[in-house]
Amino acid sequence: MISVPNVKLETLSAIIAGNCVPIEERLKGIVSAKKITRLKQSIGFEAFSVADENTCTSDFCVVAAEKIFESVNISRQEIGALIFVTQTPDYVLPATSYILQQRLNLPREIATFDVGLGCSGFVYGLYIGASLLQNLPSDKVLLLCGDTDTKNIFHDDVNGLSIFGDAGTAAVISKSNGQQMYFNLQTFGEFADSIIMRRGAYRNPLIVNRNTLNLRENFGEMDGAAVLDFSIKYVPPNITALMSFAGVDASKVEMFYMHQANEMVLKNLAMLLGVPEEKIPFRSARIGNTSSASIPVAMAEMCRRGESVTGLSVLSGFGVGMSIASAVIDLTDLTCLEIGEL
Amino acid sequence: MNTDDFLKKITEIMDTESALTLDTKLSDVEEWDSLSIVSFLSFCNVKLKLAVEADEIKSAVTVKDLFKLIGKGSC
Repeated sequence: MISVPNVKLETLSAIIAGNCVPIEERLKGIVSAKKITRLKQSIGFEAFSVADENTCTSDFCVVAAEKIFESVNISRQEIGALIFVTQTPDYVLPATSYILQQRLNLPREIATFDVGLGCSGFVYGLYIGASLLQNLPSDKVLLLCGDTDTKNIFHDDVNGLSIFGDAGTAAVISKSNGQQMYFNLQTFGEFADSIIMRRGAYRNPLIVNRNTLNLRENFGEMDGAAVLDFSIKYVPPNITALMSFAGVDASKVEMFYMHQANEMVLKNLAMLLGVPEEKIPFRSARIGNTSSASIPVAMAEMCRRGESVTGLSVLSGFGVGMSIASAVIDLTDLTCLEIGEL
Repeated sequence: MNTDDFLKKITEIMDTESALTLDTKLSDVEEWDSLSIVSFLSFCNVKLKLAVEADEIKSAVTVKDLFKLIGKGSC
């Protein structure tokens, strides 16, 4: 477990697609109306933010970051590092963060890199950003996080279609005397198969010019039961251990911002952590599970709904890897911008 | 949990109109799908606080196999 001194999360912003596609439309002709009702009731997603074919994660992130520069008094010159957390980059190479540095008119004197993480990505990004600030002349790090996982779903993959949405977010982590962040990061490489896209990188090339049945292998696979099993077995102890390391009692925590895996997972975690359900908000019903973006997306959606995002908070991202990253952070000084659309 | 309570519960979890008995083959129930599997998994491990593995549920053939998984914690 790790504690990082003199840092805070200063501001965040999130952008989703302008057209939220209802689940009925998403699953039309694939499953029965009854199955759609069952999915809505237990998984909790009613509509999905779906990027059009020309929109990449980086496009959402650019809009999210520009919104920060417009709304908050932060200058581009103050940014000393740019971190882009995604599993859906623009190109195989170079790292998309280089394209983003140019698009966002950020200075040359900046450290820039991509991080390939999904559901745990935002909390990992906070950890990396907060750690960099310990040894950076600049006062701020720009963290861009997001994914367009709908592009990884095979056309009749009911599980994928009824869970994933697209989004991009931006956050600024700053030096701040006296404030502390606490992290618990865990790695479970033995479950790497639970959420996997086997083709398209260097181990297995994409299948081209064959029948569509084989093409299924080009897309993402998720073993839903294994993922739920993992979440309920390993996430609660990770969070409990972190709270005790940070000397924080669950009753003092204002809110638990969890990766918006789905509503069933969050309800289970509330029960296992002994926390009232309203303290583990599920705010992605009209957006979908947006992978590395889902925690800031939920926060920005809460702002749009007039709910406050402040105070002593627990953040926890868990999934693809399999990976868990949790944090205890004081969000009292956070400027959370309302969620926007592209 | 007795047999009747269990059949009521598993019918509710699957949200099926099929009349289930312990001998019902899961493959004959249209609603026994990945969604029912995760619902049953969370019912066992979170509500009942058992330690049932996803693979044990997936390899069940009949309703009775599921009932046995519930029994394993208490006997």
